[in-house]
Amino acid sequence: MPARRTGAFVRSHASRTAAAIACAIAAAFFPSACGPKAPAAAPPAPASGGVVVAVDFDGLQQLLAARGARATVVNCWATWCAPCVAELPDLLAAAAPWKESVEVVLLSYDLMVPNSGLDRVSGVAHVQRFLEQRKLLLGEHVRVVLYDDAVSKLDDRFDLPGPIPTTVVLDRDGKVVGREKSAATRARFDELFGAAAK
Amino acid sequence: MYRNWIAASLLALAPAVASAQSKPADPAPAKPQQGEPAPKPKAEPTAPKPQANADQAHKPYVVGNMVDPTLSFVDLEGKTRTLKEFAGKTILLDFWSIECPVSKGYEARLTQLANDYASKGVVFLAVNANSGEIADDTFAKIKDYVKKEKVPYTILIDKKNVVADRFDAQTTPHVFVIDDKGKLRYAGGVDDDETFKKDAKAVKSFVRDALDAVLAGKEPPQATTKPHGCSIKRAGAKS
Repeated sequence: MPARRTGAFVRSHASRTAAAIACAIAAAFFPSACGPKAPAAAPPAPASGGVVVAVDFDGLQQLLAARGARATVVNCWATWCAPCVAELPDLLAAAAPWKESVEVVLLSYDLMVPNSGLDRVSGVAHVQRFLEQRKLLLGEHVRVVLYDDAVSKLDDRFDLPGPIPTTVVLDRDGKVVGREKSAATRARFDELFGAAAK
Repeated sequence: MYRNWIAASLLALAPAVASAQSKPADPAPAKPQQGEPAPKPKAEPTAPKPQANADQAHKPYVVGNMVDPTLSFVDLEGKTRTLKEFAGKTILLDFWSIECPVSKGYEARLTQLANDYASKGVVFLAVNANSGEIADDTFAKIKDYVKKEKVPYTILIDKKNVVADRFDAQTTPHVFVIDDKGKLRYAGGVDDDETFKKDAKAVKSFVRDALDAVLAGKEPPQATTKPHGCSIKRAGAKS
């Protein structure tokens, strides 16, 4: 535990630089990524492969709209949320068989904390590092998105309950067609991905 | 503060904690009470009437319900406490955590709020219902935290989540205001800081608005809001 405590959250210059580069790359594709204000136009989103981007609500909408003909499973989580972290492996395992038809958005609430000490750049670095250290296999069908905007916009868009974890299933038109309001089991995730792929 | 946040994150990420912090299955949707008599704002405080909810003894409270004064906790010394001892006073009850970064992030605002309203007779009770934080019967970690952070309010332990379930508490923080008659008048979040970046002085505090209204014998402008934060790790919750 002490080793993890030391290693997990050290903010190195290298990681900050890496995060800035990741933001720069992401910003080339997502106008709202990592910047406080961005132009509205959004070209089709690239596959992420686990690259973390920070977006406001409009950026999230653009990102979801750019997913092509795929259904999407949006999982709201945070590195500080133990049940969220606990369910990630099951979520990713359940997603793998559907990677051609269902996209996954891991929507991080890591900035949704008063006095978090994180901004977009350091928040992206924090989440990126967390995922790397957990060695979670994030394929091209998985996007990791650091949300930075009013939480009520998410609540309204997806009819969220408030606490996390929570998962919603969007069909190809972006309509909510399924949800799990709290932590899910592998079997439940299988059901959700099955519903998404219909 | 960042170090605290880190510590909280690490504690929250301990595998043992991670295995059991999900909240239970969705509660039945609450229905507003029908036909309940309106409170008498000018009346002298009277004993709460738990029998008003006798027909729904096992359902979570909704705003307007009378709160059972026999609901019990233990304090940090292990002594049993009930809401009866606060009869006749307005109670601010906050579900609270020493590990959740959201709850901790609100600590300064809630401390200020507790201090501001203590002189108005408001009792501030912070309830810890997180099984991982209250497993140790000496509550040593909580005592250390209270001392270090100079927490001014009364900490109560809800060991079996009986109180959390009656209030259908979802998150830390999740705030409830009970008036001097024992009626639940507000349930929800602390304030309108939806991006969690506002200055504490710039927020619209739902809790302050509710307390001001209740103390003035009026209806809170917003009786319910959506709480945000960490889910409460209930005892025996499945991973």
